[in-house]
Amino acid sequence: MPMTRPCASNRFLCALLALLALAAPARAGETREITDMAGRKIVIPADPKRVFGAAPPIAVTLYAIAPERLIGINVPMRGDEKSLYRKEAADLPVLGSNAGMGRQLNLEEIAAMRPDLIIAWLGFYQEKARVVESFAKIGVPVIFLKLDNLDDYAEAFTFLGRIFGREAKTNEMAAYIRDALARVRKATADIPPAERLRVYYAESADGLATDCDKSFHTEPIVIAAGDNIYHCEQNSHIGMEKISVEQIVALAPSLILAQDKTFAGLAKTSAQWRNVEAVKTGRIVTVPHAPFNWLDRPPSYMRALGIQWLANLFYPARFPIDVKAETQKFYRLFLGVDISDADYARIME
Amino acid sequence: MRLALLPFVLLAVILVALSVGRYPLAPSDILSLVGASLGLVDLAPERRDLLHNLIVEIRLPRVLAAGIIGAALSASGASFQAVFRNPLVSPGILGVLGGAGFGAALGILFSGDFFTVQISAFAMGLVAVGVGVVIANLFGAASMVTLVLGGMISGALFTSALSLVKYAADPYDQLPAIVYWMMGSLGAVDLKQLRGAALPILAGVGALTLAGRALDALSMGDDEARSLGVPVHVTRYGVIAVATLVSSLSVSLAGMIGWVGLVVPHVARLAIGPTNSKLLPASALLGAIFLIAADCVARNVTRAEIPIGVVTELLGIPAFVLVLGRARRAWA
Repeated sequence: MPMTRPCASNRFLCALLALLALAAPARAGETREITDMAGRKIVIPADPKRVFGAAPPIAVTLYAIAPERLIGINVPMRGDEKSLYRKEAADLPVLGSNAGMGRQLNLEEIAAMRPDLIIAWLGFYQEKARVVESFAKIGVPVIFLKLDNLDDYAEAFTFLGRIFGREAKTNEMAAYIRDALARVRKATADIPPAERLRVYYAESADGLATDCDKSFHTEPIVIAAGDNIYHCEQNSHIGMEKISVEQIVALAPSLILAQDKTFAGLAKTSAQWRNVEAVKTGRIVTVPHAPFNWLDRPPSYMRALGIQWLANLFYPARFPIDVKAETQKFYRLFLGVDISDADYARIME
Repeated sequence: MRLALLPFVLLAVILVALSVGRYPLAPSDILSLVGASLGLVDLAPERRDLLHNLIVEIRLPRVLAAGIIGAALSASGASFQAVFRNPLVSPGILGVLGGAGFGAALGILFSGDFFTVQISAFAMGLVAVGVGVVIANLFGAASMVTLVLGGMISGALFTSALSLVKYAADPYDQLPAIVYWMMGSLGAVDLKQLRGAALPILAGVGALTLAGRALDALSMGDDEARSLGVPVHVTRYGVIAVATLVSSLSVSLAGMIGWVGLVVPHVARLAIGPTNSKLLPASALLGAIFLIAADCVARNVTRAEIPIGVVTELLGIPAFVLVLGRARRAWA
């Protein structure tokens, strides 16, 4: 009696099935349990294909790791920087976010996009239970990512690498962040507080908004051992506290870090600013922001490059690096773009 | 209180405002700067330059701007109250604020340059009033009541347009800029910007002050005013136009500063009486004094500056409650 083996009759179909099984080890519907960065145990798809980052720092992080799996972004990309964006994420719809100001996400819209995983920000000012509850309504699992400071980013990359099965890439990124932090800290650790460069962090078009030295907004300045002259505790998520020119004159910064290019021009010509020490010596530097800001708004892993740039800017003798080469290396690894000399000049403009 | 006293109070408040700030200066520093400018005192060139920078270039434009804007808002508030014969009217009555807010937000969205923001706020403030007037005239000639209703509708329209702009703005820097603008600030005003706006504002305040007598005649009724030789329509619409222009200019300089134009005329009415020929100059002076004082509070009380619009509301509301207590009988 001939044995009826399953594959005897149709070897071709069998081979095809076996191949498919190999090619897609985790088919749709398969799940696994993980522990997220908030310590919650949660069941998620084994291989999430459609993902939404619920706040800008998250979406920017996912953009580095799995750009082709994003279903949307939080805020519109800025027009003039499109050439520096990855092709995979060039035409994503704007879906809003659930953190900070600006357009809020529409749950129904998110549901219509059928994501199979939401990644939310375990932020200082986010209420975890409410976030979970809102996405539970549309039946999509939520995991939290902790991104309080730059050290957290290294961990977040490793964590996301496991979620997306891309450990090799994310480990490389995590190692880069840890290494950058270690190098900058080592080079600047022994600078006594009194000798640290006095920095004024100028935001908004008039330069009269700033953030406390103990705010998450200004972490890169502190890591690069700059003394942010506005000493205080942050008291709102948005920050950007109003300050007057005379207060800045009194605080005597040696360098101004400007988030707004308009202001950098204004400070050089305005009579009001002329007695600010950094203006007298012409040390006003605009923060690069293409395609993402190097320091803040939104905070991101771009800070790993930002702190090196700042440490080199503040203390060139202690931290002598080739900023251009480092920038090219960073953009290739994290943003997936090769930047030319002309791109670099535009970024640093 | 005597009207003649107010200029001296204003002068005193200006001197106090010039000597306080986050950079520690003694009142004697102002004297030594004045002395040095007159060649009476010797001052080290570096010190003199610093004093000049702090007092003349940083504090003075702010103090002057506060004074001019306070005068403009209060004088136009008092004029509107007289023309509409309604004590609840404020400079925003015809929709200027909604329009200016929308214009400023558009300016921030597309340029961010202070001058563009100002121009666009001013222009849109006038456009909003224009829309209000058109709505008032849609179904026949406008009366004072349909004018107010038209202004309300137009103001609401532009306020919702502002919300749309906020929605489209970049949440990292444009949106906070719009939000701060809506709370009012004198921080970015410098002498150059002031020079452009100050002259038309002061001319407008002067014109309103001169119209006081005609407004007094109008308050007795149109026929009485006519018999006294006052051109009723020209006066009424002229005052509305000038008051609108003046408040729109002041909003474009410093953003939204609420309550000044509503409360200060009432305080002035308590102190001086209801006669418009005296009330208007008194409102202008008191408004200047009040806003300079409010700005002192805004920039000195806490580490970060409090938006001045918030200060005027916090100070204006209790003042209004007090005025309400004193004036209840007159309105009942």
